[in-house]
Amino acid sequence: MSVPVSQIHGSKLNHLIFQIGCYAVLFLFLLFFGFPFYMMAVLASHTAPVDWSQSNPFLFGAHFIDNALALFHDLIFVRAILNSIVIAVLTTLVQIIFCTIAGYLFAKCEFKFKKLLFALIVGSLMIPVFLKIVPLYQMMVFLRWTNTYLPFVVPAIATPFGIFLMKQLIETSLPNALLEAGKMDGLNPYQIIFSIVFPVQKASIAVLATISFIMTWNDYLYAFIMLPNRESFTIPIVIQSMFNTLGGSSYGQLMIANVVTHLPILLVFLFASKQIIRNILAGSIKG
Amino acid sequence: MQSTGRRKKAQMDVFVLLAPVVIVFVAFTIVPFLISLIISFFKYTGYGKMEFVGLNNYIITLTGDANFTRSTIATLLIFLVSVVPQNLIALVLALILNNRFIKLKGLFRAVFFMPYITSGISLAIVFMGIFSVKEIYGIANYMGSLFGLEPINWFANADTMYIVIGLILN
Repeated sequence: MSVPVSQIHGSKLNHLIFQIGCYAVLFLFLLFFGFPFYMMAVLASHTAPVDWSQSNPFLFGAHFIDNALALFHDLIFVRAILNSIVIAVLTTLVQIIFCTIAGYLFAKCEFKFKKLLFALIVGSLMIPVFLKIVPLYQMMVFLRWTNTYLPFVVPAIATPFGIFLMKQLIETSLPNALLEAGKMDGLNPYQIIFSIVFPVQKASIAVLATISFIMTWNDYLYAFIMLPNRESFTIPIVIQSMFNTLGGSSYGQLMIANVVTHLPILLVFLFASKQIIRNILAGSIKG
Repeated sequence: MQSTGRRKKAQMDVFVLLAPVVIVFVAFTIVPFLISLIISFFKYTGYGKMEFVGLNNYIITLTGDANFTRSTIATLLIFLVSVVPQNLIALVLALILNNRFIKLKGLFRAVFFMPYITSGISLAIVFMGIFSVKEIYGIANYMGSLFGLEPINWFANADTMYIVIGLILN
């Protein structure tokens, strides 16, 4: 907030008060948002049930390592981590490739039925997934794809959200001059995509990759329906089933599982957050 | 003549490149939606024979099902409770964070974004821990408070926060 020159007398105090007020609000919400994550870590270090009249619930307990060992002793959980990683990475890769191609075609090429197709794809974003999940499950059973990675990887080829996102980003951030130059040099459309669009759009791809990784990693309902076997569980399902079987008896283990779930997401987020924000802004300013 | 030939070739390339996307989109999005729509006109238990009942399912759901009306009202309530105040809060926070003099922008931004990137299951379980009714591990009880709609509040919070802060922050 810049202070107008005419108010400079006595306004320094006002300005200071304003600043302090701003910081107060920010710290209040910092606590508000940070608290659940802090409690997650704290509860992970206690054995449950804890009598809070005996120990302070806001301080770390002494059982963090015990809980972690007990958790990783459970082979289903280790298996679930691997499953989650494979599914998230494969899905993200497939989405990057096909959404970038489709986004580029929708943004920069003219072809028949382009408007209709794009309207259908964007329109399908509005319809909740629950409406299609029953027939989708029957299809997967019919194809014998349940308990495999295929129900995640194959539909990822056409992710409406990814196509929409890439179309918007490429439309605003890929200069037509580059494409013209490529055509002048005699590149065919495939070469244009792989030697111009992909390298130039690294930032957009990072945005898409982050979002799609986080969505796949956190996905519960779809994974729960498509993966009924214990060996093919992903992390959210394992946490849920642990919660059902253990209940409150070992909250510490549950919370460690939560901490472990968050680690890769936090890594991805920290790694790409600057790029995400920069790119969102680049798109919004130019558009 | 040559240019129309080239244009046709370009069209072919587009269709080849777009074909997998379109096929998968139709097979795994359009078709399931349509099947859902068709099933809604039948009496069907998931296996066995399907019996055509016309609009009967809709009539039963809209008029006779108390659960349906109750959950619709609940959805509307949650929508009101979460979306309206959280948009305001998100706007205020974004405006504050946009000020020049604020230090530690990165820290605030990261923490404010965090609910958005966590999974529903984890958050739900943490909140069950915090807001548990049982005396032993309910932190909220320990602090002497209430809550019921609060977890949902947080989720909505995260989404709206993400959009508004993402737009306004620099």
